[in-house]
Amino acid sequence: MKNLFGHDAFRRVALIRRWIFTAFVLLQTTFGIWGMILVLPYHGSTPIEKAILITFIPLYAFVAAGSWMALFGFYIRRRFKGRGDARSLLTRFSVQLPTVPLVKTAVALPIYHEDVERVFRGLRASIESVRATGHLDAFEFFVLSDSRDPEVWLEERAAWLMLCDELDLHGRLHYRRRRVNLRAKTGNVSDFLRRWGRKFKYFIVFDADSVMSGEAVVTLVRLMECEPKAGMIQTVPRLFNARSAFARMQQFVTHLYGPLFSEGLAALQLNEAVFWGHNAIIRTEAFMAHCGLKSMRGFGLWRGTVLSHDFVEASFIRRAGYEVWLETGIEGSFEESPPSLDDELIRDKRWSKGNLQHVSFIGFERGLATAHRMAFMNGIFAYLASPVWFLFLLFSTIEVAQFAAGDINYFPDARSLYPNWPQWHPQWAIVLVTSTLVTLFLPKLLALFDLLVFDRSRRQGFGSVPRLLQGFLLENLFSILLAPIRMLAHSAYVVQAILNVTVRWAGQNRSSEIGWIQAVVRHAPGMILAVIWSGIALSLNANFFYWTIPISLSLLLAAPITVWLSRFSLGDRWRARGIWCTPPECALGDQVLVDFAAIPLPLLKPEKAPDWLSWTILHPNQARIAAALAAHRTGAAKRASTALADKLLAEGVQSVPKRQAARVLDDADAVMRLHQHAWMAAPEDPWGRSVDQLTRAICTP
Amino acid sequence: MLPSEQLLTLPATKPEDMASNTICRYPEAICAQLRWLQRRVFYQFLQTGCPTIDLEADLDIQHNQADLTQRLAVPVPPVQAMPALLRGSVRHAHSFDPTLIQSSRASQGIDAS
Repeated sequence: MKNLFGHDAFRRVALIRRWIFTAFVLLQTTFGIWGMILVLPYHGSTPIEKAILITFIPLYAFVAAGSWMALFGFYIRRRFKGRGDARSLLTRFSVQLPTVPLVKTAVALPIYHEDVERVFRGLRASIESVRATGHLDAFEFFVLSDSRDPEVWLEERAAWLMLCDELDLHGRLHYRRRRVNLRAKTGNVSDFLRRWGRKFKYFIVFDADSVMSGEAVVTLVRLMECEPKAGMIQTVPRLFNARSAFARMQQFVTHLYGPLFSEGLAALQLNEAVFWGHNAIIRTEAFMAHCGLKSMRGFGLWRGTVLSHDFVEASFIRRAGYEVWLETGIEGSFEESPPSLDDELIRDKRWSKGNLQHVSFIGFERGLATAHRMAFMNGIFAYLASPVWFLFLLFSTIEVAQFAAGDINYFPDARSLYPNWPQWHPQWAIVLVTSTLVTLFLPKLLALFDLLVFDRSRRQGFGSVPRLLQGFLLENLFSILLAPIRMLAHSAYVVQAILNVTVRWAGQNRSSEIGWIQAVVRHAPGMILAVIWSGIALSLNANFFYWTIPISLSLLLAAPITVWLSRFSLGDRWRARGIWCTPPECALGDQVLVDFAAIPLPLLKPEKAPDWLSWTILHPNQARIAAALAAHRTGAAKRASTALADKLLAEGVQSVPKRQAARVLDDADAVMRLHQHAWMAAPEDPWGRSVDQLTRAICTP
Repeated sequence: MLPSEQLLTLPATKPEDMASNTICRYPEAICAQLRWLQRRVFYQFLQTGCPTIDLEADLDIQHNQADLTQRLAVPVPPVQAMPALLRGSVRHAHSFDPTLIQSSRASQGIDAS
């Protein structure tokens, strides 16, 4: 990067930190491999033991890397006494930050079939928080909808207008719906940038469940102004508004362990961090010039739209010489957790395919920073680890089966004249398992230690110490139980991704519980596999069976665990008891979250009113809004909408599929024609009947 | 008053306060009169959200139809969803071109020293 973009002030310190980190990971992995070789009866000399070792090495290295990342975060937090890394933007520019004038910035909120009430509640809380800073004039807000179902986008539009009215934001809060949803979210954002990007120096991307405080939003803009080399600044969103037990557990995890991991990650990545797709600010011109993503031209899953675009965009903007920062010190950045394990897994299905697509960027994309290639690898292995773990278990079972069958080979190496006696060292197995457990749980213990000893102000947000410890133990228990379920699901997703099974682009469930039938159907393969595996293990060797229990038991209990943890009542009960309390729940959260919870949102349409399409056509004001927002069609488009309107006039709104019927709303004349016809129609006309039905629905108690 | 304030006026009256039965059980001639009165009144209610409706019912069909026609002719107000366009392009970045990147950085005024 130096040749092209001049001196990089952070290169030296980044290299030192990354080499130290790599050395620790490699050293620990070497010890792990050595331990595993000692544990294996033939010390890795047979084909099956070689296979075990090959799967063990990346798994152990991956776990070690995560652990050292958190240890690094702990060191940085203690080294700088919780004030944040001295190299971070926030620390470097803290003095001049309050006086930096703001510039025109867009806040873009791309949505697709989301819970409308939730989306606009979050947006309203964020806007009001920005207004409270006194800098609302610097911002314009864009709701960018890709929703296709008229029942959703008509509601979105009504919610947008209501918000404009209530906050007096006409001309500053905008709504656009794409008629053609090319390239999903990336296409949506690119479409926005092509049309309006040049008006704004920066844009902040929100997710449908994002909430950001005004202070955070203003700080992001000021940091960009302070550092002209910054192309992206990513905040660390913390989870909030969780109700189900599962979501509250995830919320607890991000608040308790998150600071350590994110601090470690930011300290290693420095100015080569990644973009997580939302709750981040982007330099518009740099993004437009360097981050447009073409469809991939490879084969299979490496063809078509880039699904996980955020990492790629960060690597491209860095390639152009701009810096990408992960700012851990910016408070007031929030998002929500999926309410259940199944919803998380549905999201992971999309992410696993998206991450596996990054293989093509690691190998075949020129000019990318090594740090970003490593970030791609990390993302890929986050999902690939699951099938590797699955294979590790499979090979271990085969190894045990061979011994149980008495199939002992004293000459595994055909070229050797000396016998190789199989040796069992249970003590080494215990040491290896212990070291793995320490590697897995030490970061969590350190996070707890950090909170209890050094961060007393934040500790109050987690409730009493006994409840915090109880929550900590419960979270660890559930994380152990959920790990094999996630492993099996991710393994299936990786296989499906490699086979290029189409991933459906759909809005996420953010607010529903999981039913028993749904859970049993989803987890039945895992439950069957667990029964078979445990049966085989028991028939081979009783000791081996005991080793398999933690995995097979959690697979067997997958459905009840999923259903149970998705329950809101359980989440509420545990919240009342103080289990898994987090700062936002204990009134130590940002004011924006308090406002979020308190926002009154009146009904957009009476409960008994008909569907949104009929309501829009029949309601005097909704129809005029629809006409005002529609285009005045000409030519072929006009003829098509006229023909559609003629059909609807004659046969009623039910005569064509709803999505097709909704196209009439794209033509101002057609909307008003239908509206006027409906109200003047004879009682026996389909529209006359619709008006009478509407009257009855609204007026009948 | 802003356009959408004029337009987005949801019923301020609770449905239970409204007339409870709209199914006509009278002779056809009366039914027709009641229907057009009902349409006119209900349209007015949805349009204005007015909680007090003039209940001095004029059952003349032509009167109610004329009133409704007048209400239906209220013009469509201007509502702007998005600001004026300022077109730009999002360049595809799959082909790595160091020269392009350097010139772009120079145009941004980023110090390469």
